[in-house]
Formats: sequence, structure tokens, C-alpha cells
Amino acid sequence: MVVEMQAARRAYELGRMRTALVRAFIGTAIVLAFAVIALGRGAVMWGALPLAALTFVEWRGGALGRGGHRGFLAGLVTLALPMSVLRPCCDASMIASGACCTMPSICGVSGIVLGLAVALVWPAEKTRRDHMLAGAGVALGALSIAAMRCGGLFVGEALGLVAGLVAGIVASTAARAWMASRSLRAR
Amino acid sequence: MPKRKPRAKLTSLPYDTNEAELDTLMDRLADGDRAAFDPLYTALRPRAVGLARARLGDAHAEDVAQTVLLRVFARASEFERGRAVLPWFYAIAANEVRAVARLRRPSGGDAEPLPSPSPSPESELFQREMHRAVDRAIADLDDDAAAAILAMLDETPQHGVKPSTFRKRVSRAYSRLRVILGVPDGR
Repeated sequence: MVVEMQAARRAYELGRMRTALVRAFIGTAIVLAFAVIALGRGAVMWGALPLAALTFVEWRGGALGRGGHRGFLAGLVTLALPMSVLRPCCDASMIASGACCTMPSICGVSGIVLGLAVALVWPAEKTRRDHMLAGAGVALGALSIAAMRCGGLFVGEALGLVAGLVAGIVASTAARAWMASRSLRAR
Repeated sequence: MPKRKPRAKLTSLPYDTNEAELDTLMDRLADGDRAAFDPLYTALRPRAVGLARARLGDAHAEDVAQTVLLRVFARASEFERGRAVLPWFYAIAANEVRAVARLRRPSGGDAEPLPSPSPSPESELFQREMHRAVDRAIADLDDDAAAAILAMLDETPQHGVKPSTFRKRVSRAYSRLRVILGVPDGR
């Protein structure tokens, strides 16, 4: 019976992978359509990132999957962030003066605000471990799409945006995991 | 509209896992919780063997049951959370067993495999559980569709309905039943 059970488990994992790939292809197509509108055709070359991230979180499922969905939506928001927010120092006069993009911290602030906002709205998980997994899913989903946005930014800005997103998500995940463990202890 | 005739009350089944537990386990597995796999496999296997034995006899029951389980677990991630697992399971299992029976039937022979002359108590209980699963699926249909299916099964008469209308109703009802059970058309 052990051999049969292993075969059934393999069938389950393969079935999950097949479903994950279908959903990831659909999700990536949406992201790419969004990215082409927001960033131009060059964004298509980054399509493998959200495809791989989405396939992984869909295949694993559970808290990681739920977090991944939220992160995916957060990533779409980064695509919608206007350049005027991400690149305040890069208007024409600044480019002319050669002092362009000396304020990547502005991108960092945008990322932190976005990361905190996203992480605070994802559904509460029952255990601390699930909170951490959901946080990892949010980070993976958001960063895989934010990377497409970063492809259109300067290095400093991209690092600022990514660092801000990670900081916001980590802070919120830690806070929610701490609150979950406290409420579990209280029970 | 004719009133639907309720089926006889059923006794409890000799399986360790009850239906509510099975529903919970399947919800968890569909969500990606691998810990639900082993108890679910252990609970569904005797049901698959019972179905195969009832339809095909003892000779190949174990092999066919394993084929059924591979199919069921390959589709586990498509299971719609919150629904009853047994109607879904029996729909897939019955299709698989029917397909195997068709393949094993001698060429040119149209007859169904002969039922066992004296069904065992386990087989009778198993048949009742399957009837209950189908009843639950029929209960999800609207009144017209349910009445058409029951009339087709000779449980209630359809007075004053033209034969062509009745055939259309039955066809639509079976389509809806397939959707409820999660069985694709043409299978």
C-alpha cells in the first residue's frame, strides 16, 4: 500500500503543478498586459519572474499561496505607480543639471508605504508559522512584479523601491506573527 | 410540480472517517496542506476498492481502485472548497470504473458486467453511501432538473410533459449534474 500511496502522492503533486502552471500563465498574461501598458514592450523580457514566482506559490498553496496572491496584487500596484512618484528628482531641469536620481530614498519611502499597506490587509493566519509563510508569499509575489518596474528604473531607485517593499512586508509580517502568537497564548 | 420522494434513511457506514471529516480533509488538501494526504488516502481507498469490486468483480478491483485514486488525487487541487467530497469522488471514480469496464469488455459485446449474485454487506453499505452522494448532488439541482432526473430513474412520473420536452429537460439536468459533480462533458 505504501507504493500505491506514493504513486497517488506523485499524481497529486503533478496535478497541483499542472493547475499552478495554468493559473500562473493566466496571471502572468495579465501582469504582462499591465506592464506593457505601464512600462512599454521591454517589460516582456521580465515575464519569467512573475511566472516562476506564481507557479511556485500556487503549487505550494496554503498560507504561502494566499500571501502570494496579495503580493501579486501589490506588485500590480507598483506597476501603476507613476514615475512622478518614483523619480521626483528626474525632471528635465534636474537631468540638465546632471543631478539626476540622487534621491533613491524617495523610492524607498514609496516601497515602505506600499509594503506596509499590503501586508496589513492580507487575511489573518491561524499560526505564527503560517503568518511567516504568508509574508514570504507576499514578498515573493510583490517582488517578482516589482522587478519588472525596476527594469525601467535606475539602479538606485530600483534598490530603494525593493528595499522599501521588503522592509514594509517584513515589519508587517513580524508584527502580525507576534500578534497571532500573543492571541494564541491568551487562549 | 411533483414532490420529490425522499430516499430511505441510511445506516452509518463501516468506514473510520465520516463525511464531515472527509470534507475538511479534502478542503485542506485542495488548499495545499500535504498533511491531509495520508488520512484522506486511507479513507478513500476502501471506497474506491468497494466501487471497483461492485462493478468489476474481485479480480482487478485493487488495480482499478488505484487508477481511480490516481485520477482523484491528480484533480484534488481543482476541488471546490466548501463542497461535499463524496459526490465529487464518486463521480470521478464511477467514470474511471466505467472506462475500465468498457476497455475490458470483449469486442462486440455490449452487455454490462454481471453483478455479483449475492452482494456482501460491505458492498450494500457502499452502494447506499454512493446513492446518498448522488442524492446530495441532485438536491443541489433546481426543482425542474431534479424532477426530470428522478423521473428518468422511475421515481416520480412526469404528467403532462411532452416526450421531446422531457428529453430536453433530462439532457439539461444531466449537464447541470455534471457541473455540480465536477465531471467534464463527454466523459
